[in-house]
Amino acid sequence: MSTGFLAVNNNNEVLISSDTKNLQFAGKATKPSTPLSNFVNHGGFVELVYTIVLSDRSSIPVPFFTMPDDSKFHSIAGVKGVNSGTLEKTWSITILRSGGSTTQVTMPEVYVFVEPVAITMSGGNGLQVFNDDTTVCFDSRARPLAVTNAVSVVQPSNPVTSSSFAALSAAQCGGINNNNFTPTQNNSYNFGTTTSQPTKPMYHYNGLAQAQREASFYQYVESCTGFNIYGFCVGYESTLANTSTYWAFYRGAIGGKTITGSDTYLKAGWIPVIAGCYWSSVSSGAFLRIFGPGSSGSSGGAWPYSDETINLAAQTVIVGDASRYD
Amino acid sequence: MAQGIEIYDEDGDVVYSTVDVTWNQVASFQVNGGASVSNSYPILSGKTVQTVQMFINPPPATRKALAHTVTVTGTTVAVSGGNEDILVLVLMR
Repeated sequence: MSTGFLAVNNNNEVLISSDTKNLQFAGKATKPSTPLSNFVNHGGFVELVYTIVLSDRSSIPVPFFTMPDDSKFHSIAGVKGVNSGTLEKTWSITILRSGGSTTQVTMPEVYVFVEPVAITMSGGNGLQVFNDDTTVCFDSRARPLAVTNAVSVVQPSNPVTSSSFAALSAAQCGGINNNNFTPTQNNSYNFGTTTSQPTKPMYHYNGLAQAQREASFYQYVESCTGFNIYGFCVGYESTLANTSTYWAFYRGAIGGKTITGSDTYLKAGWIPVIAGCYWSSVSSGAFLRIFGPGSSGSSGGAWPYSDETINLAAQTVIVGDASRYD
Repeated sequence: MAQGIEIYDEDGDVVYSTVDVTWNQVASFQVNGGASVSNSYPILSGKTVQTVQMFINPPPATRKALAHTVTVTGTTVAVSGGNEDILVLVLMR
């Protein structure tokens, strides 16, 4: 740099530069009073929408979430801004969390960082750095983002193994309240020594990966109204073939914190976010196998793709210490 | 500290110093579903680069929501291949 300002850290990495913008603490996003959606099967899930208003419409917020229960899995599902007021933008930050609890105390806290131009500053003293276009790129009155770790993670392609599935009803989705799709598969990553962990860890992680898994159960029933002689029905014979296909849709997430030896581990796993079932039923009947009503069937409720995992690519978990911003 | 920089708040507490690590924002932009973007940022030369992709809307239940592929080659950041609207952050340190 020939002109401007540059501060580097002990590793010669950029701390403040007039060629970039620092991400600084804009505030905590407002917790929802209730989840937007939730269910309790398959390990449970809540979808939480937080909001925050920023004073500049062109700036994009970077949310970090805490894990009040770090045995649960969490991820960022969406970050959407809508213009509000005269110059502001209201951002909705959607966080997914496994586990069925809907109480506010179990919801993560969401810390939002953004370039300083989008933050309403208070106080008269401090250090400001400007970009070439005269916009403020660092302002010490808003606490800058400090990162404690960054770890690249990826989920296993399959959230659950079908070999562990319990047998479910084949008739018209009669086993809809099952728990077969509770995620069992994850990848574990070392996040460093336990003594070096932040006082109050906060994480930025986007759940881009998605998976759908399904399992079909089939049943064939023959019945005879009359006499059954050596397997031949003398009277009215009917058959019924039922198939129910149960499915669940998952989003990628991190959580399941464990300590092994002197190190702390987090897992890249899955959160089930929607589950359902579709079915078909075909019946036929005949009197003395000569006359009969024929067959019928019905179905409903399917997913747009089947037994597939998409967007499975390594994403970086950025870690900070939320206690610096409380 | 013998050398470096310390920045204090009005209460006299250090809020940022040479012992800290951060990712600074080089660019942020939106890429719509089906669109492609390729931008060059000379400032990235010789730096460690991190990109962040965020869905704007949580993936719906009615279609296959494909994320974009974000690649960094030298000082060029390219985004393509997805069918969802996303936000992209280019960070460096």
